[in-house]
Amino acid sequence: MKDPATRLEISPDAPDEAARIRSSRIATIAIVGAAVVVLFLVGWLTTPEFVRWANLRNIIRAAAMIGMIALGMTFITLSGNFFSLSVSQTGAFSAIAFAYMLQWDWPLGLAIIAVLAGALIVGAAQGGLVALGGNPIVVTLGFGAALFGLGSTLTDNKTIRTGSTAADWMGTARPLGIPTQTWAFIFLAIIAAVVLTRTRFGRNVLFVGGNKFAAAASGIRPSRVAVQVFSISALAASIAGIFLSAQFSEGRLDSFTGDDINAIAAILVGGAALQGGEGSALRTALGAVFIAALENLMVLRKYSFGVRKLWVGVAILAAVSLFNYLRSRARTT
Amino acid sequence: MTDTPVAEAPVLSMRGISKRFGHIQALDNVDFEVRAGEVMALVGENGAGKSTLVKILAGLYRADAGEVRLNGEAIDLGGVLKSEHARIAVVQQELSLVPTLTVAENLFLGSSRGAAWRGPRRVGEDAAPFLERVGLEDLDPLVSIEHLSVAERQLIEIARLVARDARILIFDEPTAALSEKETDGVKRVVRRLRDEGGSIIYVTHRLDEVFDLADRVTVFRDGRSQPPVATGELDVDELIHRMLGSRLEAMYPPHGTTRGEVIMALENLRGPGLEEAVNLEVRRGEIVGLAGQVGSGVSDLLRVVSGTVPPFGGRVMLDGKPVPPYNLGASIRMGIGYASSDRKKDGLFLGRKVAENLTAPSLHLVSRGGWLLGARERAMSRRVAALFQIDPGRLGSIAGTLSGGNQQKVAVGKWLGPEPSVLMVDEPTRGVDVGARAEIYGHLRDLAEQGMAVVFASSDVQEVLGLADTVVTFFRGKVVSVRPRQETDTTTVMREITHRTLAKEAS
Repeated sequence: MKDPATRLEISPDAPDEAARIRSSRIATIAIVGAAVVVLFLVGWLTTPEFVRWANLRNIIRAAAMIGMIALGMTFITLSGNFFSLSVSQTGAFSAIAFAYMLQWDWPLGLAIIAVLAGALIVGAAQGGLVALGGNPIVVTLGFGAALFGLGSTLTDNKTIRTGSTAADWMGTARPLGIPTQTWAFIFLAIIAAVVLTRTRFGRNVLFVGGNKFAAAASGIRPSRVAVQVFSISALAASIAGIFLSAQFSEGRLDSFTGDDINAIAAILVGGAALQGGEGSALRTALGAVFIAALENLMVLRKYSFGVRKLWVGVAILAAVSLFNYLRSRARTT
Repeated sequence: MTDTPVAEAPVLSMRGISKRFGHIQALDNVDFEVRAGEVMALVGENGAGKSTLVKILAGLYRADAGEVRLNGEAIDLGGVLKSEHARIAVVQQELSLVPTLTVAENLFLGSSRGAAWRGPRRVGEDAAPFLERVGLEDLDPLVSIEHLSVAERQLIEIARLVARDARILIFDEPTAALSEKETDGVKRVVRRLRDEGGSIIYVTHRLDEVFDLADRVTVFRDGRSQPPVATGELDVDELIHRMLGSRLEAMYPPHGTTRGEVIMALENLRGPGLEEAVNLEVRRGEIVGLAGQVGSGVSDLLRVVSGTVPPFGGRVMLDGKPVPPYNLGASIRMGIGYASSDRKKDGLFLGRKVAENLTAPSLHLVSRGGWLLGARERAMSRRVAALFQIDPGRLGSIAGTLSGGNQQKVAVGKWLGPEPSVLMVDEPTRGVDVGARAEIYGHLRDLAEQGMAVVFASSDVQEVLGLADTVVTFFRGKVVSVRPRQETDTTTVMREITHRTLAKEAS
């Protein structure tokens, strides 16, 4: 049996299968990109003010806020832990904490570090509970409610003014005409993409999401990954909170209401596999742009709140159905 | 097939069936038939087209060409419901029972007879005759499925199809997950259903089952069918020859020549599934075969040694150093590789690329400071692929698209990445066709010749005797004997793994 020439030639697989699946992966990002392009075309043709620079700037700023939260949550989804339902509360709580610290005349840098450190602890705690076997949806729902309650008690449901101009630049400046939030979003998207595709940690996240048991058998600890991804998500939400606080010079408990769903929508429109193991940061970022532009266009068209939510829901359902169909086709034939 | 007597007319006959996926002609003008009261075996290597045919019969795929006749009448099998209406049913390879429901509820799943409002007792009474027909008359129909063994679940799966009044039953590798003893239960049911006039299509990789069970056998090769042959007119060699064509080759490589120093020693190792402490020494260049049925402790021992489950006591020494217990990462880094028996559950990332699968246990070797080194990772996956003869053109493919044999090569081969000194494989050839089996045996022997120690567990006695240099037999969580290959034979091993008292007399 040592002469390879005498070995049996075996198990012919379908070689074009691989090419087809590769192309279906490329297709996923093309579909998300095309959806964004079509949306902008529709907006351009139907609503002249949609494509004005001032409005486009609003879109990319809104996309940045949703996008930063969604990028962090993408790690949770890819690791097979579904979603976090505490990101809007984490963002709002961070905004409030940041506003208080500036009120107390803390140096800007210290305030940022303190808020991020706090978020890291909150995220790691949620990840820890999930690692111990908690259901991610239930754990984050509970933490979200607790954070909201704590924030409500601390602020007495009042808006907290920063009373400081230290953070103004951070919230309102536009280097090269682009809002700071958008720069941060682009920067974070690149970091997230690099981490997911080029680092051992990113590979571990995708492995745990792809098959938790096989990951464990390869020496990866799914529980450690859970702590890490929930920490990242909380960190990202907290960055969004700091930017929002800086932009409006205030922290409010209701400042991120509805952004849990928007972030989840961005991830799903980006075509991440709901059960984990497949998806990309870049696609989530495009998904965030899509959701932000859709919201913006509907506001310009004077759609009511309810109708807007309806269409975001339709977009989620359409994207999930389409990507599921593509995946099942790739799997069965 | 001319002038078939009326009594011998097939219940189901398929003529000129073709099915193409992209550039691959999965089935090319295939003929197939089965008579009433007959077991028709369907054999062939992976990729020969067996499962495509089964899926066409189940209504999951639609044939591109050809016709299907049921009792002489042309029928349309486009869709699962039409297939069910034709009273064709497939006993699933992956069991499709609901673990939290009772036996009776599962039996009538999807039928109004299982409705909850009828009350558990009446549903249970309805279930009794069907349980009796598959030899489970002693089973309480109200116990929930999760408390049953794999073998019992398999029989309930069959009973469910019988309850649906299926007349043509397709068994797709029903015994792949069962030990030899448990297989007997399935075989008994197959014979009974045949004697009652049912038609059985039996897809299997185990050739002994073909001769044991089937009246006739149809061989598929490269998407083409050969005319059915009565099993009485064949022997094993002839059948293998028909399956492989000119590619026939001896199944097992020659036994080992080199034998080095002790590399791994198990010292009083105890753990879940083991009734007694295990002491065992494994040498470099040696292939140790752990023979035992499902539940005998062979798989449990590998799980404890690999660090997958915590031991109760004792220790594993590797090259003179103790291995930290229950620490997979440490075990891998110290040089123990372990491929479990269930590659779909914990062996592969089916949705990820083959290349990523091959480097999964070796990420610490292809990264620096947490950064994956692309060039090093590619080199590693190409090296491992070459060692296990995995087509380098498939490295970019999604692992789930490979055939069973190639998936198994990836699941075992990936452990060569960390260059272990001991490679442990549980059921090295489960669900793998004849050709890929021979190839996997050859690779394991090559690795041993290069100084690695190989420990494998198997419920297939021929496999243990064919591959191992040292045979360790297990019965009910205890080691029965440790013997060099030359000092044991089929009868001895068989006796030792099935019957404790006889084994004691023998030794």
